[in-house]
Amino acid sequence: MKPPMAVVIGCRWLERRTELAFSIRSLAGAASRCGPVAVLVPGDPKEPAADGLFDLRRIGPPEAPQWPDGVPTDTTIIVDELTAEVAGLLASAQPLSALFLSARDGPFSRAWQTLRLVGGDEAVGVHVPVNRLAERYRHHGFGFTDYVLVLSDRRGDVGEPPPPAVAWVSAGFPDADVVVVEDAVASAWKGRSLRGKVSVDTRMDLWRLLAHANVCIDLGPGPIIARECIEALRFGTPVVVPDRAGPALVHAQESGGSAFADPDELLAAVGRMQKDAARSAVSDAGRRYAESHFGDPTALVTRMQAVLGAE
Amino acid sequence: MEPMVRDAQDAIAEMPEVAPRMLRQPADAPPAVGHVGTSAPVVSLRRILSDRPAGSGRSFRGWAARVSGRSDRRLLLALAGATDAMATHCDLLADRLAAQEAVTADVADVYGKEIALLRAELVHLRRSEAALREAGA
Repeated sequence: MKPPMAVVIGCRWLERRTELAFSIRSLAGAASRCGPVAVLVPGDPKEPAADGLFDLRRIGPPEAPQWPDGVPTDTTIIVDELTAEVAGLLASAQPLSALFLSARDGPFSRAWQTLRLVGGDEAVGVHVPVNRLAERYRHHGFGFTDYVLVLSDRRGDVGEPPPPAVAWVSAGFPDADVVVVEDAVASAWKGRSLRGKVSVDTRMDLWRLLAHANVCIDLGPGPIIARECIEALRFGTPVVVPDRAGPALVHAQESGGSAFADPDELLAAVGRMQKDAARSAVSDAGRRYAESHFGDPTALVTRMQAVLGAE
Repeated sequence: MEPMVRDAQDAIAEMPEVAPRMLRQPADAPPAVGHVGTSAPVVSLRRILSDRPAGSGRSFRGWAARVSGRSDRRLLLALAGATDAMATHCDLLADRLAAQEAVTADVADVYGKEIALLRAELVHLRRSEAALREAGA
């Protein structure tokens, strides 16, 4: 059996809902097109498990990981979350090179590099899939399109007023339909009052909502890749995000979208998207950006080959 | 600076950034009230009244003939006329109410929007001012 071209240490591999799990799985999949890949995850070493394409190797509990027998160390190691414990493991393994997506503790060895997923020409990116059928049919729960979509950063509660950003947008644009996705429920607001609620059961439901929105305001974008922003851009929906450093801000800047620090900037950003010509230009730019960086799996494999030094 | 010598506009500057309040019920203009004149009884009454002078007057007279006594017939005619006038007046009121509700909804929308934009701008100015003060300090 050929030795692995890369070893992936997936501390968050099994936490499927996290962006770290999504990203490391996407990278491991791309790396597997270049050569064999070994995936190490926390857990009892006596219980190896199959997970789709990969046979997972367990490395013990997160607080005391052990390098598994039979897995060579003289290769490229990709870590999703670099912790003090994983750093100890890497230090003992002496890999050819070590790359990580995020670091929780630190500082760590300078020889270990961040693998950039977003921003700049050298970012390796990930593949963010979407279903194009979502563009064809709107969400069945609402009888309108061209709404302002707000992805909330909190868990909703019955009777609780919507996030402040929604209140500002609904007050500033009384004629606009504002749809808020919060805790797997989409609530439609217009003229400062609630008009109805529908559940968002599947990713396809979310994609439909993203695809038919006039603009998407993501109040709590993911810290690793801001996946929902990418999905919105792939459907040609401009994004508006809080003015905080992170991948979402990069997406907004690269796609011609907007960032806001206060209600005035938020209303100005939403107002710009109400003009067809401006919205159309931003929509096209966003779609081009998202397709080229996150929509082409073949390009991701090529970039991964460059990272791993594979021919 | 001592509170007593602070400028009055500082009171505005210290307002918390409270988001606009949402409404419990939609504030849209309700559907317009329909015309009484288009209701079946009034349409029927007007048809009979209009038939009277135009034709032989047989139908209204025939209807009124069932009522005994001249004074009763006069009263019936006056009642029909008054009903017709009230229906016309109700329709005019319904038109005015619809127009008034449309104006109210428009004004509420416009002022609500203007106030929200002004408040947002105020928040922005406050932040800018605070940033300038910090930079200057």
